[in-house]
Amino acid sequence: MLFFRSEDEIRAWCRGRGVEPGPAVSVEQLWRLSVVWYGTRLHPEPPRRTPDEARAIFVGVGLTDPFWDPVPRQE
Amino acid sequence: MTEKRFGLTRRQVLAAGAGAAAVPAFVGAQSPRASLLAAPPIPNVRIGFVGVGGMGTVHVRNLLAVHEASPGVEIRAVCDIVPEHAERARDFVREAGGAEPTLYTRGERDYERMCAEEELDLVFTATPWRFHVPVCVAAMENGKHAATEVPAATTIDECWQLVETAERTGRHCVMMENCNYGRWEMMVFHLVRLGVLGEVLHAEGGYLHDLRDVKFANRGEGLWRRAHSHTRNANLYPTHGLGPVANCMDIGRGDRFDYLVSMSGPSRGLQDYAREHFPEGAPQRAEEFTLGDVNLSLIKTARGRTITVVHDTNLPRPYSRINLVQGTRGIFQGYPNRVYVEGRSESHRWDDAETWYEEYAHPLWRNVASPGEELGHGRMDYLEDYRLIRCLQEGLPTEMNVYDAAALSAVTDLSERSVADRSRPMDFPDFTRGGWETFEKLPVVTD
Ligand SMILES: NC(=O)c1ccc[n+]([C@@H]2O[C@H](COP(=O)([O-])OP(=O)(O)OC[C@H]3O[C@@H](n4cnc5c(N)ncnc54)[C@H](O)[C@@H]3O)[C@@H](O)[C@H]2O)c1
Repeated sequence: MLFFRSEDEIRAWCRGRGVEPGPAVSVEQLWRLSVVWYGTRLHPEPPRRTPDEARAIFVGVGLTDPFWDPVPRQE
Repeated sequence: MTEKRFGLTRRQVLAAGAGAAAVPAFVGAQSPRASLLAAPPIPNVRIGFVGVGGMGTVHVRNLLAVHEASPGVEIRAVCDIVPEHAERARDFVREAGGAEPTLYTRGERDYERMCAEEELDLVFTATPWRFHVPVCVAAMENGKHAATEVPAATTIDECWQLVETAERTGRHCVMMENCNYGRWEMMVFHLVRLGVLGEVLHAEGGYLHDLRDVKFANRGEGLWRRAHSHTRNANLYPTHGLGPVANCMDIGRGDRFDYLVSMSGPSRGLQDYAREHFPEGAPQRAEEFTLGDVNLSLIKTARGRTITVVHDTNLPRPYSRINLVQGTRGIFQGYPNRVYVEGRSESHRWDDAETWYEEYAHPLWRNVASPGEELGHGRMDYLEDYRLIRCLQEGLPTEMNVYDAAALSAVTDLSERSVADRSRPMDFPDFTRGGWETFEKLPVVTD
């Protein structure tokens, strides 16, 4: 995981190395995701989310890149 | 749809987030590739030189000699705050038959004008330490490669500034560590590459040089170097001793400096020297020094190996860089140069390293003669400049990159913090951001 000031910097960094950009997440998105995603961590039995619930959380904070799609892999 | 891209999975990202207090914007991507720092070839390297005092003049003359041996170097501009120094460099260029370089002598920041106005491929600086980073950054921001005398930087923030600027601009930032090209340092590197010393486990290096007269001189380094001894208690000049042994240990290319602990002893040498060499009432006698006369720093590498680095510049003593490299089969130690290899040397006895030289001399030392007069510290300075130009001309990765420059220079700041805090361990930043695991090892170059 690498940290950047802006999406422009991500693109420039990747361009300089011939690497395809990965999914970028803003600090604000990450914060909102963390509040929901980790909010149940201290429950005695943290609920295991279904793919649909997980997707709803990701989409809710604007994480729509296929990287975040929780559909199980079709090997 | 696959969830795995760029070496990271969604699950790994979420698992990492669970342990992290705050994670700003990120992108999953692989570490920089080894080819990152190989720029396109430059058949004729146009250079702007900043700071042509003692060492800068040596480089200028060496670069002219490199050109004489094989045309392809041009000194187009020279910048110095002392006009006579710039003029002296210009005269050397003229004598060598080059076109007259433009001089930049309008004060401390005139290198900015030079970097902005001149068409150059490389800006080379041999100024006092505090200008190394600003000059290199100005060069890279203006699309030029940068080369700097040692140390490249004196704080961790400055090290990052060099790394980030080089990455953003895609320019080289080379630290000119001439000792990496020393006759014995290169022979040891060759021994290591041939496996003669076995697996390298430990090394020792340092800068043990009685600089009292230099620090108190009214010229050259006396004008700026002593000031660092007033304010900093640290390993102030780590790269001469550490650079060569770091190459033997593949630092930045398979291993990396992990953490350091450091101790300094009392400060006596400069005070005593001032008392003995300046008359009663002279301001030098009232100066107070923070720098411990002997600093010992210990580095642990990520692969568990150990390195000691000594800084010792204020006491009467003969010169040494220690230059010790120890492996599972044998050991080399400098000052005086000696070798011991099990099965070849007489048990428990050193061999004079000269008896090994014929067989194990580094091919560069065998094959490349420096033309004419040997300047500065002899052939190593020439070979260093020669190899920099070859790498630029041929578009090869430079033998010292910005990550090496940062890691080696970081010792000063980390040792200062450790000394100030009862030798507490200080972590080295991984300037390569993981690249050290995959960056290619340095080859044994032949010409
Ligand atoms: N690699 C080696 O073996 C070796 C040996 C000596 C010095 N050095 C390094 O070389 C550098 C210079 O050391 P030196 O011994 O040549 O010192 P020096 O004082 O002789 O030379 C410094 C030169 O820089 C000029 N200068 C100062 N500020 C400037 C500025 N802002 N812009 C342009 N020019 C400026 C000075 O007028 C002087 O000509 C230092 O970093 C030192 O550590 C390395």
